[in-house]
Amino acid sequence: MSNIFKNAVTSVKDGFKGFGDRQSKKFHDFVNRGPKENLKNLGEFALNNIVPIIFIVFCAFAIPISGQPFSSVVRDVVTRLMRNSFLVLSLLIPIMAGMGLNFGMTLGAMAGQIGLILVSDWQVVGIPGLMLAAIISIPISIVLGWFCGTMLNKAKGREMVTSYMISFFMNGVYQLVVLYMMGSIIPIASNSLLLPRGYGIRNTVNFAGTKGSLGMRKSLDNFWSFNIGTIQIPILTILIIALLCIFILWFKKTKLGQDMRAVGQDMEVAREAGIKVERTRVLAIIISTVLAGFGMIIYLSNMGTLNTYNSHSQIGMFSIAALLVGGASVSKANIRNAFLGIILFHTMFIVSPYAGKNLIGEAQLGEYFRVFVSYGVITLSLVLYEVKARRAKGHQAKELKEAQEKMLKNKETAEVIA
Amino acid sequence: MSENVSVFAKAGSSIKAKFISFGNGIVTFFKTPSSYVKLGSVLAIIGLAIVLFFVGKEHQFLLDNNTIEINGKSYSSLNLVSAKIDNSDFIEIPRRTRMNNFQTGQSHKITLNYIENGQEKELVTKFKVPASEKNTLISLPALIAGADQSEWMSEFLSVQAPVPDEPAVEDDMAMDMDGMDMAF
Repeated sequence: MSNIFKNAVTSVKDGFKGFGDRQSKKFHDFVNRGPKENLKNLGEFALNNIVPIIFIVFCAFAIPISGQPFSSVVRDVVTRLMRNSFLVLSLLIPIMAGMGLNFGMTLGAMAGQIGLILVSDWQVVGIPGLMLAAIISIPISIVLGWFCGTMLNKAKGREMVTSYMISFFMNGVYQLVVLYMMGSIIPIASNSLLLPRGYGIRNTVNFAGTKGSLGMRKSLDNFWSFNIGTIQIPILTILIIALLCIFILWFKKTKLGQDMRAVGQDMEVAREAGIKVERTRVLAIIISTVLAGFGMIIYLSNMGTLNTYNSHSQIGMFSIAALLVGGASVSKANIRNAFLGIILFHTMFIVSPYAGKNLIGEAQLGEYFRVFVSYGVITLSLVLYEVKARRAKGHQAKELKEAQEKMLKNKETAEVIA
Repeated sequence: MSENVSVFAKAGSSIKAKFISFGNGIVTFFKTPSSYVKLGSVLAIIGLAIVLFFVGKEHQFLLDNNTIEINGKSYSSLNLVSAKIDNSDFIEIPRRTRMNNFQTGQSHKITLNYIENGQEKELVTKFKVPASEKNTLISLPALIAGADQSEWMSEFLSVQAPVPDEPAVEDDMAMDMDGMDMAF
């Protein structure tokens, strides 16, 4: 146990040291290079980070136009950062294993929701309720993650679209369980959860607690927090998110983490090296699904209400969009991308309706804009990734051709000399 | 016919092999020390879940200050009783009223402040509630009179009225997966 802790601390230290070293190296390189070279690098940097740059520029314009007080925007962004971070971070491990953006995280979200529904029925409230929901979600997430991972192993190279389709399929299974089996086969006693017909869960499940009941809403955020002005800083939630970040940093250095990176870089080489590729990929999806289940519980406890049949499907799309906005790609993502993405994406979500209203007199335009942006950013990132991949492939082919020509030339010269 | 027999024999031997391999797997599992750690972890998580269930289970207490007759004995209501359960705030319960209080866990402590014969008195009583009990009725006059726990505490069975659907409070990202909700 102490070894694990030591390793985790070393990982975090190395992470910070590595970051510092990289930045100082970049600075030295910048000073040593000429202005022309720097300009070229700046262009390359802009091209590589086009999505976050677009969002930063958009937010810089939209915040003053929206007319919202800066403190109010910050308060909303902090709330959303606490609410969404765990979910977005849960996407990092499959990317590390080369499986792209895991749309299958909605499966974990479903598991979390089932846990919360059962706990609500049993009237277990507060932090024990959330922890119990998390424990209930674990086996469901493992089974769903195993299923998703096994399917993705059969569709290598097309993981994203396959996981997207699996999420649709599982949504049907989830509805079957929640709409027909809960209350008829799975015992549910509470009338406030059941539909008037006697089975199936209502469209809305309230975690706030009514008529003096304690409930589960914000129990995590309110347990240990302080205020800076009007902004609530929930320390326990921050600690949980920090713990996940440490786990991810530590996990990268473990044998399994290294295996995942090797599989992500080249499956065939990893297989030759003796890594069980399929098993590693399934494990990546299982870990992501379990974390997504926990993330959904944190998200819903902050919201206070569960939209039984929609919450999970919305959350997958927006978590992925947020990660991409932070500068992640299908093949590369890190913790920095996750946090930057959440801040930028949600700032856009907060200010765009007001900006639309002040600019054109229609809040609806802002609503359209953010829907358009969330899908647009996923499309843009996928297109950019494909363009980069093709360019890299082209570059590789060109290098190979040059090397072959050089080799032929050398051979001819050697023959002439002989 | 003989072909069918051989097919069945093959299937039988395959199932037998699978059973043997499954059995060997279980034997190997119990031979490796790390398996016990895994098994222990799973059991610990199940244990934690059980503890969390009992610790976090919410109970509604109905603090009743009505005149009541139990087993032929009448307990008269008091003018005013201040009551608190565990660390909650005191609530004042006038004559012929009933107040509710929500608490988690099974073991509780009720503190009552009341006036008897012109003197202010305090009564502290510890009690346990079964985990399955959702609503518990506590008769304060019977408790103050020193009745048995089975007399002053009983399960309150309420008839659940149909609950109307509440509007969903959502993140303002809310929309359908295809975004059409907003478009039309």
